[in-house]
Amino acid sequence: MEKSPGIIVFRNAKIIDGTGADPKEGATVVIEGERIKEVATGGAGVLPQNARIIDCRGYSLLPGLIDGHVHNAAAEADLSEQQRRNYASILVIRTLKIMRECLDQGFTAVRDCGGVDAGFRIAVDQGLVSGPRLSVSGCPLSMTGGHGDFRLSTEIYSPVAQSAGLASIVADGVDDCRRASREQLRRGVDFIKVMAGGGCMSPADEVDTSQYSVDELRAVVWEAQAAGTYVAAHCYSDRSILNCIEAGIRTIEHGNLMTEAAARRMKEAGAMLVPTMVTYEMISKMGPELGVPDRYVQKIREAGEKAEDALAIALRAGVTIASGSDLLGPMQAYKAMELVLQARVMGPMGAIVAATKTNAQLIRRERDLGTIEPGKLADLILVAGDPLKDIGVLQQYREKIVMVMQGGRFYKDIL
Amino acid sequence: MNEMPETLILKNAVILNGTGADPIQRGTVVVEKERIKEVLDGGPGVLPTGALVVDCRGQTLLPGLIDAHVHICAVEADLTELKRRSYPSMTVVRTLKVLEDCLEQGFTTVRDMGGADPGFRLALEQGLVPGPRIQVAGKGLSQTGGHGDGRLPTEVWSPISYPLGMGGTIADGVDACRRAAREQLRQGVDFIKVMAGGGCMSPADEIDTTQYSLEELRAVVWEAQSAGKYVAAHCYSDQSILNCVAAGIRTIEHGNLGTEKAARTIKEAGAFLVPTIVTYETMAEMGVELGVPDVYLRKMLQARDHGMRALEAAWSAGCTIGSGSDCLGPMQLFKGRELEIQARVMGPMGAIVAATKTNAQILRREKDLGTIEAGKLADLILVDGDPLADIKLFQNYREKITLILQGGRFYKNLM
Repeated sequence: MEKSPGIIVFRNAKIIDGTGADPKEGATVVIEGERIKEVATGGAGVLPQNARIIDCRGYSLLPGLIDGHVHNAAAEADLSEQQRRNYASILVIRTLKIMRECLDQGFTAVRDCGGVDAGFRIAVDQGLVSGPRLSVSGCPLSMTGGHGDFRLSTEIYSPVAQSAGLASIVADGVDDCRRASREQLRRGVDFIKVMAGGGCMSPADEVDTSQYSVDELRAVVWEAQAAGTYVAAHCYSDRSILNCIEAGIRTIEHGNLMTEAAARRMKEAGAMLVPTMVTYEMISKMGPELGVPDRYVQKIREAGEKAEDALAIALRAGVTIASGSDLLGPMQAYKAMELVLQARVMGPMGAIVAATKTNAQLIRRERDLGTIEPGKLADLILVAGDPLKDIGVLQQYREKIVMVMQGGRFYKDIL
Repeated sequence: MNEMPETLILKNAVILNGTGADPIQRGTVVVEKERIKEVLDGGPGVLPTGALVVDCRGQTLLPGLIDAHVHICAVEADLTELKRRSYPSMTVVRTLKVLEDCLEQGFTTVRDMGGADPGFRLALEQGLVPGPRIQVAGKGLSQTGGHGDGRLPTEVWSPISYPLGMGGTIADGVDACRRAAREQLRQGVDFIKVMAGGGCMSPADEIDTTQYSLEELRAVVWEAQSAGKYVAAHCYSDQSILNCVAAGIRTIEHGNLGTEKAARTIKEAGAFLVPTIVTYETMAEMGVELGVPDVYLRKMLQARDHGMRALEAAWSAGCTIGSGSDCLGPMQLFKGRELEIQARVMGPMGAIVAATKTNAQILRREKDLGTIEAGKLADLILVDGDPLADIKLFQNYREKITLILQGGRFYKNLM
């Protein structure tokens, strides 16, 4: 990544600042070092001589996008086979490529909901590799036969704790869940992920089931909160969501089968919803040719059909809605399609706010990330055109995202 | 990796072909795609249309160097602490840098003697990352308290097999050795590494000890040979070497305490010796500032003091001598020094042959690698100067190695 020249000034930009406020036309943003120094409607005052001035006429300046639900270590579409067929080292190597591609797509921060260890976060923070800022959950907790248990129903060996890829940890019972949570926290994760209901890409469960008892979920929440962090739960059904809310889980992932009852409880509890509609869309389309087993594609379609309704229900109930992609393998190139899909329900501004300001809150980095405001880290993207008129421009990232800045440094700059 | 020309003509080169033959003073090498098509004493004659011609202007063309004893995952000098303090992902990230550094130094092939899993070999074969061709041993076999047992004498937990990076697999007894060897072979290693004597960078052994019984070593050799592979053994003392040769081990690594007796035995059995003297030299110079514990340094100095004598004994006895570096952490940038050190005994031509033709035999890749001859893979380096007059040239690789070709593809080209 290029070194920041000190002071950079974006002029004549249309600023969509991530707060949901009306865009500012012809505005100026001044970057000093790694942070945003000033945001002015109209021109900036006197500029230092060494400042680099970028004329952004015709372009929109947005906060770097944040993806609230990724699996960087999902190098392939079929996760159970991936875990069976890859050496640990090559999974890491392939993950590094996926991380670079996140930045290419304008996502300057992501929340990894299972798979990567804290070493990836450290490697990015130390500048050893190019990639988005990471918030990681390490190995998700799954019950026996749950969404993180990749053994086929016919396989009878004990579950193995893997060291790379979509490694999950199988834990049953309050004591074991407590120990498994402590083990992940000990290894330096940012939050705990728990599989609280059936999933699509796992061999031995159905999407409308709930997984774990409330007691086990409570133990996980206790341990996470004791360490100053929170729990994110994989859920589809009402029953699953209600268990999670009762246990004090902070973020509900997917939520595709949600009805008004669960949405109301989420709103009352102040829990956040992270829809991931794009992954159902993409696996439905591309899954068969990528070798995803029929059984998984069938579950994906089942969950995918309900995704938009669930989002509308949550929006009506006033639930805080974030934005995730949950894409797997080569489909990870379609992150911004999530914004396109969410915009159908929440409008383009709603989708942008979800993927910037709200996602920054989701990862508890709202002081530094998510909006274009003085004092925040300079994670910015410059987009040709106006995403409020055509949100699809964000998906054409190769041509349309002409600049990606992370902490004041250019990762991409083809303006 | 950069482009691969259809036809590449390297003319006006001094060709030092790796066989030990006198150099061709003004020769031409014709490369077609990934292989050497022709080696000519003189000019290229009629040029095929579209050929890329490089005028080597009297620089010296050599086979790509081969390092027959590396630990690419040894990203820090103190291996015991490294194992304790690195996430798997971070180990891989840092190992990728080591791989690039190998190529930068003109080493187009390496043999990893413990630490790297076969995934690295796949990643390099698939072109996912730049680096040398690699053969891997996976986890070296060690007895309890042996050179691959990283537990301090005061530590009482059971040994664990690290999923990634440095650290051996502990096996005691014929049955356990057999199973451990089969496990490594099952995982796809190219050969088996066994710790047959004490080592410097291990906390609970002395370097003049032997490790493993003959029966255990024989069991490992049986398993390797059954799978069409061979065994390489870490050894210092005469007794350790004699045990290995008696068990049918093919390559003796280090051998620093070896006398005429061990040398004669190696020669008679047709085993290979792989000296790694540079690691003791660099450790003596830099170990303290790199935080290597005194107990390890004491042993390194002991091994260093005997290394040259052992090499002289082996050279006089007519042993087939390969070339390794075994450098750890940041000292991995001093690979080229092994040639300078070996040249003191074997002459510059002897050191070059060891690091090219002989190392290719050690890797069983002599059909494809190690010399500049028609039909071989085009792994070539161009050196500004005459390594026979100044064998230290390789150490100044940034300036003096002006071109690096791997399988007909440019990795570096300053011409």
